Amino acid sequence: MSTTIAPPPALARELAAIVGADGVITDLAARTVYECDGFTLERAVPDLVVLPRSTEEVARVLRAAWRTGVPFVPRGAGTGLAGGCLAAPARLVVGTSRMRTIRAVDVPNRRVIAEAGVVNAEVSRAVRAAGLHYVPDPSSQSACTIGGNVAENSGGPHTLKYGVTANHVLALELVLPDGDVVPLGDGVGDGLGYDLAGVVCGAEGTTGIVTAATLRVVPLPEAVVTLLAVFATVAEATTAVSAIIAAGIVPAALEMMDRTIVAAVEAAFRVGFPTDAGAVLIIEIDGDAAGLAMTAALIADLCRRHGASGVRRAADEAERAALWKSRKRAFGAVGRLSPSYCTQDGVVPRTRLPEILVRIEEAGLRHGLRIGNVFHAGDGNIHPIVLYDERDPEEAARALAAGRDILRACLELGGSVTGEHGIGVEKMVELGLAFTADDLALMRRVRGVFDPEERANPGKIFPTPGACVEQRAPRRQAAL
Amino acid sequence: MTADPTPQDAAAAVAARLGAAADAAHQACAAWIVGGVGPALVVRPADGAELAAAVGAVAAAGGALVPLGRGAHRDYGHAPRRYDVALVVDRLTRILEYEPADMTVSVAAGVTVSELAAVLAREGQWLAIDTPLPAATTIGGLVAADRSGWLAASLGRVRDAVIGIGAVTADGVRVRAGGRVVKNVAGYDLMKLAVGSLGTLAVLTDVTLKVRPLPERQHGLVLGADTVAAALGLGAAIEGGLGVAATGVIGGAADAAAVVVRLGGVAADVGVRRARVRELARRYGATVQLDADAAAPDVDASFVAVRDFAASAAGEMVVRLACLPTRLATVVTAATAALARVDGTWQADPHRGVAYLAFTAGGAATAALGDLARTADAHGAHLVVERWPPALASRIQVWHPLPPALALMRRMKSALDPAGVLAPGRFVGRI
Amino acid sequence: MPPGHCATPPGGFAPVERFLACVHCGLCHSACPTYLALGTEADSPRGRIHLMRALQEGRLALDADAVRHLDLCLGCRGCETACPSGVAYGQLIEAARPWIEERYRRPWRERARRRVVVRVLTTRWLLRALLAPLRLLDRLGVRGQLRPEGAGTGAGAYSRLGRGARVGGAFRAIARTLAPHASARLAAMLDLLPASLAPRAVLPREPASVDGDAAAPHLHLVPGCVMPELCGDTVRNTARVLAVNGWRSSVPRGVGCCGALALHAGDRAAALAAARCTLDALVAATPAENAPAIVATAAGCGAMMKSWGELFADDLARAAAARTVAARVRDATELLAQAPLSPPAALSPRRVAYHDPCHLAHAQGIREAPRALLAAVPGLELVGMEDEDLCCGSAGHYNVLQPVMARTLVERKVAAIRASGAELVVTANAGCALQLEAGLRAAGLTIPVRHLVDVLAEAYAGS
Repeated sequence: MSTTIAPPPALARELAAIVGADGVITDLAARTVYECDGFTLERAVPDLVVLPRSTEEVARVLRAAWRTGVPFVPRGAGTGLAGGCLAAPARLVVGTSRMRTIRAVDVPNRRVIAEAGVVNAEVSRAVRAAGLHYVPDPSSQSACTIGGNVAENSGGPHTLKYGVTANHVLALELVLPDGDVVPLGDGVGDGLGYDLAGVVCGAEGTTGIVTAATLRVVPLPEAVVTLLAVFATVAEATTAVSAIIAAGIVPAALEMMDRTIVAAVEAAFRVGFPTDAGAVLIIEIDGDAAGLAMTAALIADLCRRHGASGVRRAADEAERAALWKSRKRAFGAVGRLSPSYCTQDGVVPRTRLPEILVRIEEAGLRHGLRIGNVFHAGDGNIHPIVLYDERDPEEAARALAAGRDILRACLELGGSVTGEHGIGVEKMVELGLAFTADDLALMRRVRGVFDPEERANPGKIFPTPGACVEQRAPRRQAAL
Repeated sequence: MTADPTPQDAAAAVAARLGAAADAAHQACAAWIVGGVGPALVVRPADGAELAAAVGAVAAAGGALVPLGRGAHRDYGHAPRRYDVALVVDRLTRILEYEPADMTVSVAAGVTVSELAAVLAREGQWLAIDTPLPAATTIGGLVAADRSGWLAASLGRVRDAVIGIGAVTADGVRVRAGGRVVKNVAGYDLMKLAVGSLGTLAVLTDVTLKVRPLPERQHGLVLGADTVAAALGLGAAIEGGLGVAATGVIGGAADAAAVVVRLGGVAADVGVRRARVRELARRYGATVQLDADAAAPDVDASFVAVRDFAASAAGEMVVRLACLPTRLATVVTAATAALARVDGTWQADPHRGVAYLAFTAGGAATAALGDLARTADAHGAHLVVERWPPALASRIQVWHPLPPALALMRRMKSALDPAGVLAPGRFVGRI
Repeated sequence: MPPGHCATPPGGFAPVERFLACVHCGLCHSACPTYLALGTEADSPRGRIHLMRALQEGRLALDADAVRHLDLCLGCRGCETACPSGVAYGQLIEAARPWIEERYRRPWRERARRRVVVRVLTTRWLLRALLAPLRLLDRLGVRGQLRPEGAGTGAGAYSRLGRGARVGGAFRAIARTLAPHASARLAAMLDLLPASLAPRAVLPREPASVDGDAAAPHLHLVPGCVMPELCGDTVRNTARVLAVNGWRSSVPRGVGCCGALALHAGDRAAALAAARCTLDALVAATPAENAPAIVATAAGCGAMMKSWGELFADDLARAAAARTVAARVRDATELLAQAPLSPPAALSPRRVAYHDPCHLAHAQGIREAPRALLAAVPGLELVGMEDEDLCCGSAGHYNVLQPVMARTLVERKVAAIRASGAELVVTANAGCALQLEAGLRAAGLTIPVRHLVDVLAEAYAGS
């Protein structure tokens, strides 16, 4: 178990000499705002925040911390949803928000070298003129940064067809906890030696600090069609999802919202959803223009045959954008239904979606709570949103219990406790349910290769006996 | 520390513990030579539990093993430093779980790629990796040797398809990582470590893979180009796109080369793409030698020629060169020039920046490799010697240059296999 | 639960529900100019909300550190556009500012500066008096001499300018003597002024249409505090362009400040006092039937007046009237774009970039109307620009109080303009135009910046 080690005052001076006085944050007001990320239930004000501007500065900062025996927490934009950059037990935060340089845009070879603090959407922006884009598109893509994406192995609505961050990373520049800078991956995408870059993706900052990534960018699809299908029940909608997959179609995205969420979204954005709809599906297909129309017609037909009362095709880019806005901002709209809510991030095999939805409903009934559903149907990645009032501690406790029940149900159905939010501090207990002690011991051995002293983001991911965080109340947070 | 046991002693200790699953017959051992080294015992476990027991027994005996499937890729990598037991997984042949609507399949490590393909095809699906020698390659071998084929540029590599693994660690403990769902960030992604590690970190018992629907239509074209530059330029110009589109360029000693194009998708798209490819061919002055559905025997033969090039091309040596795609033409030209004195053929993948050279250099093999290494260094490429004459085994540097993170890789090996039980010395830098 | 029903806790400034609305997702980061410049959480909207809540709840002491981060906020409300949860950031920061002013004592120099700036900008006779010497210098053609490092200080220019230059030099010397520390700041302020001042706007008291059509719809014009003095042409052109499109406009007697500048400076009492006068004047001027639309010439005034319902919520005598008046407020571009536009004549062909004023785009949600109007002018080709709706650093009097950050932001903007290949920059707010013009000038670029109504007026003049 890692113990809390506060950075000594001398370290602040040493770091200021490395990154400049304005890159070291010591005043309480400015430190307080680093007390949590997108996961707000657990909070810890860091003792020191340092914002290096280059790999060299990161290396010198980590070397200084290493010498003084001080552990650190890497932090990107702080949009994580599992408390991965909580400043506890380590109390020195190393932020990459000032490393915003795109080092290279190599259009002919279809790769971009971006520093850790480059915002996800900026990568696509840098190659848009060349007709390329960076595929992983978490809903927070306008704010989250590449370093954080690598740490969390971020997904997004388009992972169904195109995969997650790790599938688009060709090479990484990693600063080890002792300050050594190691290039990982050959940058060509052929593989040379162990795929260490692949392991660092999703390691939630426990292997050191990724300072830059070589990312694959690909041509924008020739054409995109976005469909909206309306169903009377969630069961019908999930059957339609299976039918689409069974027909040999891999949509670029396949998203579902249930009655509760549709009502909230319609109240907030007036997209034109029928408010009596039991569920709506947003289906996006992309590819060559020639075949797309036929595929769209086939999908529409399948939806109707499985009970869709209406299938609408976004007429233009504006309508498509409105549909996506309603989906990506669905959770914001939920705020209108309830003073507080909390989200889970479970995964089940796609064919078990009907079962998990029943289990979610049962959990709601058992705990006397309303639960809405908005999820990546194509991936089986669910985001049940439990509505409650945080001013009622008893109800808050029930909301928390309902969330746990749902995650356990995901495991029972052959799924996972997190599809894209990560373990962080939030789901360390659940990770212990998903894997055996032997599995976790192996993972820790791998971590030790990078970080033998557990200086990089200690106290995260791996359940530590006796040190698990008991959550007092669920949180109100963004569901992506 | 006590002295290392002799292979015979280690084999005897393992055989005594395992009984029926072990086979020390000379003939069996001779069938499992790896890099010129033969084992003293062959163990063919019937299931994961037996496999774990076998690894545990080898570890306990102080021996070393090489995990093997059908042996198709056993000569890839350095000769193992120590090799007492061939751990053959060819009896682990169950399809563990296959739900087509989930587009995932879990299979035991000993299922061959062809067997899996047949099971998937019945449901209209496929593992979109065109592995060389699929009938002789097990899923375990596919993953351990990272045999990503020529579809990788458009459909992804082996590392992109593996979503879960079951494995046995060097001390004989069964572990799992990942799972059966396509989106999962719970715990470390140890699948990535398994891919391409040649069995040096753990022995795979089962693998869960993402699969895809088979394209409605597949189509092939063979285009003849007058020059190497034209062939590679044409190959690169044929857009990977989003469906199946792969190009392999095959050339020989002459300047001319053939471009093999594989298209797939819904019929309408394939039609449009085919027209585009023909137009590109015209612009590059290439002749259309073949243009037919993938089911046509000639087309299939051309696909197989690209797929199996590294395995089936004639020559004592096969070298893979990998570089940035834009440098491929230069690298291929320089490499073929360096080999001007020897007989050889080559094949290139313009979208991945990968080229294979197959040649026989006789006494000049070492010099030829030196030339190729210099070519690689000059263009930021790396090379992998995939086949070499046995005489070179002790001197050859299979991977060049060594990766900058080699120290970290050594630490990985000693963390996961401190006693050197799993194919010691076989991997990059003789890890 | 509906907004407005939430109570502000005693001693606080905002109902806790307003803070709860923030789910801490961080999507506002990329829309925040100061976060983009500094990369520090405390200078992001999410960080400031966090700070404000911690201050209200007493978790943090109200000290110079906390105040510095809140002062650095431009109030551009770009974060509101980015926020998926509908957090009313503008209301939070505007409520926090007076609360801070009541409880936190700034160093005297800063206190004085803030008071002077707001007083000067919102007191028309004072502003007029201060600008008078400049008008004189403009007439002499020597204002460049006032800028210590400005253009025209070269020896050649000096000799050519002769007497006028000596006047300017004397002015500068006096300024330096009187306020040595303020000299650079003064120079910065002067840099923001237009290259030459247009004649002051004389405001029509009686509605008049182009062709004397008394049946044309009437509207009330609110020209604001600064614009008639500094950008007289734009005020005149607003009335003219509206007239061409069939609107008769007048400025009712007694209409003055909307209260925005004082409120942004945290002086709620002064804001209410000023706004009360203007509200009363507008109410008095409104006929019983067919209440005319109200057009503010500055985006900031329009945004402020549209939220008067909120400002006057506690003034029981005026609350209803404030809501009614607020509902009548339109931006000129909004009015012009809602009916077919009287066709403008062609202008010389140019590539044009449009910069979104924050208080138009983020506060009022007006993005398409100005672009549609530009597109209606033959000859102008609208080109895209990176971060079109990111604040230029003008932000009311921000560029005077936070010159360093304002300069950083305008430099970013200038780089975007340069990259866009535009030959003309158009915006729909005079403050932004001045800031962009100063930024381009400092970068040595000659790309002109025009207010949208000035461009339309020019096109109408040609037809």
